[in-house]
Amino acid sequence: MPVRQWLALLTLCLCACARPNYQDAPPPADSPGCTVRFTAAGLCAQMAWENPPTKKQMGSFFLTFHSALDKSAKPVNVDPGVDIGVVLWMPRMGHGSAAVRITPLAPGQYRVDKVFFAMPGDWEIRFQLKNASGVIEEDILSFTF
Amino acid sequence: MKKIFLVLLFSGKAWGAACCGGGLALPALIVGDDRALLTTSYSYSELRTDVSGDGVWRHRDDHSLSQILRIEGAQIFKDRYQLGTSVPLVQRSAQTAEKSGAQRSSTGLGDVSLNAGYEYLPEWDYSAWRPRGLGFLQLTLPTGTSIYESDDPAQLDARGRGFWALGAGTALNKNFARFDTSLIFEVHRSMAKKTRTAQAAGDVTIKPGWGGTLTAGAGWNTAHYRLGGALTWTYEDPVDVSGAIESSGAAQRYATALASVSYLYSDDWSAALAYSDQTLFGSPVNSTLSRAAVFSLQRKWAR
Repeated sequence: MPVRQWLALLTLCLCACARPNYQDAPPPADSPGCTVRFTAAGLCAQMAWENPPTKKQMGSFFLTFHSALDKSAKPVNVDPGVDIGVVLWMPRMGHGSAAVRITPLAPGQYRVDKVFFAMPGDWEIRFQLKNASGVIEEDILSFTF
Repeated sequence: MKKIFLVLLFSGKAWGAACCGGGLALPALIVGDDRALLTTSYSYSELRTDVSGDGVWRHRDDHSLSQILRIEGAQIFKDRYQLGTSVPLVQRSAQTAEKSGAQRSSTGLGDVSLNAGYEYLPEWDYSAWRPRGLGFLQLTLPTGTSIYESDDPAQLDARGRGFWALGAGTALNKNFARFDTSLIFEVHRSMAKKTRTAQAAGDVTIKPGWGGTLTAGAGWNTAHYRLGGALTWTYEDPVDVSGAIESSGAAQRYATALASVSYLYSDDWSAALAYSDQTLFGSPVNSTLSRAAVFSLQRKWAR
């Protein structure tokens, strides 16, 4: 193949070079007030990081439930009356991360630890109310790791 | 001799693949005049960058490494037909959360593939333009744990795609004096499966879709050496998840560039060194990109 054609091929390849758009993930922020909503159950939950997860360390957060009707500055904790679940999910790739551990601390208050995101990217933290037959209601917080 | 090196070019598939388990490998094929070949390759790759569905790149700094020892074989029968297989042994390691940054690893079988080929365009007489053409079918077995079923926090045990997949494709190659060129096109369909996973805290049905690869390569040959390059574009349909979790997924796309040096030690033995990089070309989305060094050793048997 003549040199001119090889140069044309090389130019074509260079035109197809990747154009990276690098971006660091913002640090995780607490979710004040009623950011997790269970409309049918009439409940709100507040999520507060105890230890935000890093790429090398698992994280943990507290989850506190109260009535959706309680608009006071310090709402009263309410026991949801059913099991709760927390699932870490990467929606675009269609997979999750390892299961978290949920420990009840008091009525309506839980500690969620072993929070680890397997890779950087856009994740969902899925909060679930569950009974024996499965998920009753779910709310989703988006999270960039 | 050029035909021997072409086989090595196709063996460049040992690159570390996008996200964890790896993409569908191109099949072990005999595209020259050989009766059988056996290739052993070792690849060492570093997962460098995660690219989101929006095309945003994020560096990995957890020293995610993937080492693959792959044994491939192919055998001609009935003159124009051939059968082959590829068996990868995969080790993945990274600095993980359980041991506060210590390097941890997981080793096991990746996805085994079986393939059958038929030379539909033989090179029995000289043609200035007509290429040699080989059609192939490839069956991929889900022998490696998939990223969808991994219970490891860093998903180090995800060594395969985890789906049964059936693919079909064609490889065309043509020599021009000291140069060789090749084009490989392949499409595959991955099969849905139902599984119980701790990730979703219940039963889920995972539905992958269609995928495909297109490879264009070229090489320059001397009596004992070949310098080659290839570019492979890979696409996978979104993975839809239903059941305990409802999730529609997004398509995955990336390009792999490969540069290789091959050495023909004797008529029967050859070796190759290759470097592959998924961060250089294309507009990758929803993928993990890696760089890999590959060494391969090949024994062939003439007809």
